[in-house]
Amino acid sequence: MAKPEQTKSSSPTGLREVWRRLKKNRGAVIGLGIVLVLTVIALLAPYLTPYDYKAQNLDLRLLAPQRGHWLGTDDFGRDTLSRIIYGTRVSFQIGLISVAIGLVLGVSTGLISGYYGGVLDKIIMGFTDVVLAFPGILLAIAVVAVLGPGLYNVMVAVGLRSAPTYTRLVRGSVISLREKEFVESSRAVGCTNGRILLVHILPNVVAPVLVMSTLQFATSILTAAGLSFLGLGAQPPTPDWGDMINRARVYMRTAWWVGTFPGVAIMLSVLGFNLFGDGLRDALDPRLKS
Amino acid sequence: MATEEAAAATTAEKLIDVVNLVKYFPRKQGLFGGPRTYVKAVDGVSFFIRRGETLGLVGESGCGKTTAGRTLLRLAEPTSGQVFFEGRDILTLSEPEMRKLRAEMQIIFQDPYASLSPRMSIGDIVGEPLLVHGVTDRVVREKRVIELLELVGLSAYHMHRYPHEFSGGQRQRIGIARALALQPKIVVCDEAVSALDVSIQSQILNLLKDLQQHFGLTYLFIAHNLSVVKHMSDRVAVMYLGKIVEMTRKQDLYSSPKHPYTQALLSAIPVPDPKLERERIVLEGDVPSPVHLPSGCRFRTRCGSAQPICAEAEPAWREVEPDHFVACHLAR
Repeated sequence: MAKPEQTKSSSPTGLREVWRRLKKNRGAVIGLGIVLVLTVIALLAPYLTPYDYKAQNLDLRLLAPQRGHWLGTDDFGRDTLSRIIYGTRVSFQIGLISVAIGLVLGVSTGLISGYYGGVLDKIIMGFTDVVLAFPGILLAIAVVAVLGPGLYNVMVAVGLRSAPTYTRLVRGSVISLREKEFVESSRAVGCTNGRILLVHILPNVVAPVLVMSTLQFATSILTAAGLSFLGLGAQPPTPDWGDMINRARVYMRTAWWVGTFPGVAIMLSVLGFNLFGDGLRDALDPRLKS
Repeated sequence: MATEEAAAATTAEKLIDVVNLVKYFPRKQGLFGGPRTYVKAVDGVSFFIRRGETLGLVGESGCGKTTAGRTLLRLAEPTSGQVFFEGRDILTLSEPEMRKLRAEMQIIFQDPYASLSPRMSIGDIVGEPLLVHGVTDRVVREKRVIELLELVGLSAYHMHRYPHEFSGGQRQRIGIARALALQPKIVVCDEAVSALDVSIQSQILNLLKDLQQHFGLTYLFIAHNLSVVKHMSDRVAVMYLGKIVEMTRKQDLYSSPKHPYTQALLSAIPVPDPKLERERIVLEGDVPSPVHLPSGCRFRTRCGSAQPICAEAEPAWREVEPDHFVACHLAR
């Protein structure tokens, strides 16, 4: 069957084409579905929760899932469903802010490192190598240890940790783009370095950075949950999934639902972002698919 | 007295004067170093281009002609040498000064598929030189872009399209429109047609000639195709392994080449007459490495008439006849 003639697209990336490829990838569609549902939940949390997430009622502690409390209650008698719904909001906040921190730091250092090269490149790459040499969670613990526990410090820690991945990714792309003739031609025309970087190089690294951000979103949620589980992240009564699992540890044998459902929530959101990110990568650059 | 005047006249008419331009690329050293070696891409090149003329620069792949063109525009920083543009040494200019001067010196690239930003519309690409040189009014810019597109045989409606929607020839026209946007004095055409089909080549060559007449442009026309260079140039410089070996008026070069390398090159041009018997000079061996150059004359390893002196001394750049320069011990 002959391939249909490419439609006249107004954009060179062929957004329509990317969407068409994305739609054919079942995993990506499922991932996108999960991401969208979670987004809606995070945005509408106050309207979806049956109970106040921090209302305690010691008469109702550790109730099994039942009518009225679909996912049961925890050791303070708080409704698990309500806490998970609010937890989505917390997790998304963590994901967004830490990805933003990593993105800004990593993309700017990557651009500079790749474009100017030389000593600057050596210094920046030295830093990223040092950061990458640490196991992620260990580095995050170190940062939190310095800044003190708390949700915002966790976001900074996770953001700092993810920055080097962006630096490397962007640097690699920039090094190959720097030698392209269209970059040289923009210099010949008299563009400043800043303009060359922002107008000619940056738009060409958006696609891989976008994919990376989606995947990093999942990693951030996971790392933050890990930190909260260790008691370094969200402090009570913030309904954080990791913190919820931490508190439920004691009741794992007697009241499985307290810890299981937050775990499922973490798993679902990480799965969703990963599936979507992988699908996005395949759709944006079909050559990368093995 | 008269000679002084003549000398003054010649410097005045030289738009570009390149003196002893050198560009070495350092090679990566191994872990344990050893002496640092260099790829001598351009190794002491001198030439000049008069206002309004076309100087052809020919040579085989890897001889350094593209590097010469790029260092001339300071797209690559030369290792040493001087480049005078209207009497001013541009290699001493600061970066902002150089950026300003770029309005006067432009380049058309070899590969029309790689030289246009894939994510910019044609209007933005052609309008960019105007924008960065202070034409900030969008309406004024668009008007000028339309003029330029029509000048190179495209239409106003192409403005909103993207490079991937054009053919090679059309893209090269876009590249030309961009190069002309600021009304430069000199345009370096770096293999400007070698990536195109033969039928398209002639269209683009004719366009370049028309534009030259119309705007009084000066070209440095870099190519490996001798027939194309003959068609375009007033004078021709022949380059071999980082050095210019011969430079003269087109007629002289093609009728009485003095350097053995030029003679060999010219004998390789196919003649469209199967009955014509002629002597082919076939060069033996490969081009030596630009890292380890032969002693003396760098062409001697492949030269049919090499003498002992050729291995001892590097031939001087001499004017053997008026306006006919050769670097060969044996040329008369």
